[in-house]
Amino acid sequence: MITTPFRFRTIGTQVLVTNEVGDYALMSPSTIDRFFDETLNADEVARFRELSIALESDGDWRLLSLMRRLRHRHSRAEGLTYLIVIPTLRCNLSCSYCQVSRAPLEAKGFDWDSEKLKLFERFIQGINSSHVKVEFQGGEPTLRADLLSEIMGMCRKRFSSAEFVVCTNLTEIDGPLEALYEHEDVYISTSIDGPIEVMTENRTKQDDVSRRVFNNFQRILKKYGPKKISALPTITDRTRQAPGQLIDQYIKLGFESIFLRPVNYMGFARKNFGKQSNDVHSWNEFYRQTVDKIIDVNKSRYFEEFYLGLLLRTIFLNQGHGYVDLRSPSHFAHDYCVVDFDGTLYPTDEARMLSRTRTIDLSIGSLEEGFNRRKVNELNANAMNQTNPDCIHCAYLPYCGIDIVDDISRYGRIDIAKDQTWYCQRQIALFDLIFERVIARDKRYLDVFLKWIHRGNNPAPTFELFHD
Amino acid sequence: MIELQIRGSFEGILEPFVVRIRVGGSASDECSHDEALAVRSASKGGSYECTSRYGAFALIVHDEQIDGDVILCIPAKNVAQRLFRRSSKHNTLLLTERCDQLCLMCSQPPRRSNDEWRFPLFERALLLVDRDVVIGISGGEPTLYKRPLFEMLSRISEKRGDLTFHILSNAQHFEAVDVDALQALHKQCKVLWGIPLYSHRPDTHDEIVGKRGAFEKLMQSLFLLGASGANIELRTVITSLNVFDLPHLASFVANHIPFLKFWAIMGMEPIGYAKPNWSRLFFDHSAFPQPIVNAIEVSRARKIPLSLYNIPRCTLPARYRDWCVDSISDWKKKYLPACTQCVEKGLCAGFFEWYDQKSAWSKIEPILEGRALQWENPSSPFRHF
Repeated sequence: MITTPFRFRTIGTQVLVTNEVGDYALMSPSTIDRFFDETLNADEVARFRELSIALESDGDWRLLSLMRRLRHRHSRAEGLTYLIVIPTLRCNLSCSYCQVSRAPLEAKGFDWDSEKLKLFERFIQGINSSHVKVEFQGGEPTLRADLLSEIMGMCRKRFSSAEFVVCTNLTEIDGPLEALYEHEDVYISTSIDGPIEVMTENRTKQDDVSRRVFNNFQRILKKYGPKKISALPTITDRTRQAPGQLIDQYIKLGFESIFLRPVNYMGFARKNFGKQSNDVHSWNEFYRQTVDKIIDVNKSRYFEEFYLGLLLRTIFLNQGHGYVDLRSPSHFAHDYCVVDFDGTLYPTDEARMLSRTRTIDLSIGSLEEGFNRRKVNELNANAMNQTNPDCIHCAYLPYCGIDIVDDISRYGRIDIAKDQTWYCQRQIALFDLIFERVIARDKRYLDVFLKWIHRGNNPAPTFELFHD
Repeated sequence: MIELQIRGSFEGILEPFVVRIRVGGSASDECSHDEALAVRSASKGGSYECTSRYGAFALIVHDEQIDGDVILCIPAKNVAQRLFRRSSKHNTLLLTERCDQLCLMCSQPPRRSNDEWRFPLFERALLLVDRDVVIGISGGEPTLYKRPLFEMLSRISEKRGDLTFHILSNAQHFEAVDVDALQALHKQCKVLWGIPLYSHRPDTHDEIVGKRGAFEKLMQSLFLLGASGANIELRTVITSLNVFDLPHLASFVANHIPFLKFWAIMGMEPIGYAKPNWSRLFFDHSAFPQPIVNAIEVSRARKIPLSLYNIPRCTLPARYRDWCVDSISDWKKKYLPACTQCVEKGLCAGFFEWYDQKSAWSKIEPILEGRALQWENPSSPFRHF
């Protein structure tokens, strides 16, 4: 008999067994014992064979299939297709959790100049891809509608298809921005942390400004429909006390999903929210409780927690995704990178922030000189859960990613035992939450999981996706 | 029912031969070397007097449309087989009646016949068919004669690159050494391999096909076919033995065989072995469509292109009816009296000629509100090609 790598984890009374590509089975603990004692009965052998784990010979097609799937999972897109561009670091707001040490509105030297534009044009000429998505971050990118317009023009000319996401605080949508937003390939992403008083406390400092943001949101929605605009909350202690408020606000605004995203441990956030942003157990507890509320919300409407939905589709549809924090290898600077206001290149937006706050220099090149491959390779060599000694025995490895930038931001190093890290502990809690419900055959949850898996309000009861 | 085999008299002709029919007004009309000029006989109804380079013969056929048909005449038996009918989109050559599997619901039970004498005649016939058509090659198991088959297809496609072949095979006879030949074939000639897979559970599949080890051999062959660039259509007949496996099979297919072109879940054809085994095998999905519905949902979520063959639209909930395609060959298709009222009849696969209402789906009823549409192109899955 030959065996392929597999991993297992005890969850309650069952053992979750996963193979190299994320097929799984739930077994009794004694079955695992018998596997190692080599005393499996015929049915049990068949179950391991079904997972492509125990094979009679290397001529078994299952091995071929496993290799094909593994290769497919690890094949990476060639050519940059996602650029985060920071045309200015200046911002007209000063949010309590701002991650980037934003520059004041009047500051000089924090915007792209004509030379940067030229360098960017040259940079995109060198990209080996026919499609691009550009996300404008800041600062507040809408302060420089002129730059956005020029960059969009360049990309539309260079690529056969291009999409743009303007990440804005939505304090302003008129003037030259109106013309930008009218393009069908331009989308808007904004931050909404809850009702007006939370918005004022976290972000705007003035109720008037908060009101303007909500008005602008409604105007965009009315003019372009719900596909045009998305929103992300940043969840601080205040929201954690009353998560229902946040969910209600998102439903009221017409959203069908929310991303329960914790405050990052970076920038002002670290200063202002250090304790709460580093306490993963209280985050997990909050998350569990809030998801439970969201499950109830789904009795009457479709409403998804974005990250849990993503994990469910990853696990039960064996589906790939483009979510960078949840991939392994991370493939930094292969299909995705950040271009800062000064033309410096970073692997991720968080890496930019860490560099900005002088925690560590994670820059990987510049528009002028291109990528520093030595640095990129150094990062990538360490951004693979498949080779990380703490990950390789984890049953959740096939579904999980790796986030060395987060590790650096919290612990100043990447070699801390992964199971001690915030990232790992959050991920484990999420996966446990999912599989506990599957094992318990908890219909209240599984019904909603199926909604999210099929992305529909009234899905067929395909419980076969969970159990064999 | 359409006449696939027609009576004839071939006085003075001994050997079997293949001709294309050209219906003419009088015996003086011109026709080419490979054609038989057929003139309707004034005296005998349904009779044609034919002249060809093989000699003169007569055919007795009631079907009006025989112009352009390619027929295999077997003088010793006084019959002609219509190998190709111009008016049909479902032309299939039964290459051999031999088979090494004994599927419980086989619609064409195998026989130990000697079929090889037909191969050169089939080859000649394929050279005479209309341009750009799809030719089914079925059995029995065609790949029992895989070398002659490959060679024949290769020779034909040199002259007739316009043809597409839909070969139904149990995929039990491919070996690693065939990959090169298959690769060459797939480069030369448009082939869709229709291959039955009944379950993700080896035992269930083997039980249905009546052959131990068939599942393993089949899966191995799919990888050989995949490696040779084959277009693969997986075919799964619904029986009570495998129906509850279908949603799992959808995941299985998505995991292991995503390189397929199409997946077809098919209604059982009530003829052949299916008849004696009917009560054991028939599953009334009109009363309980959940396994089919779930298979549809899983395949949709996993992006596996699935179609339902031989399934009347009214047997499924409205939102799943568009997975049904017009799959039953014209010569064995019928509709029921209830169908006259149905507005979706034009979109419906209908029923097999030998469908018996007493022993099948409990819920057959005309759809009174729906879309009175016709298939734009009522052909096989080749519309995606």
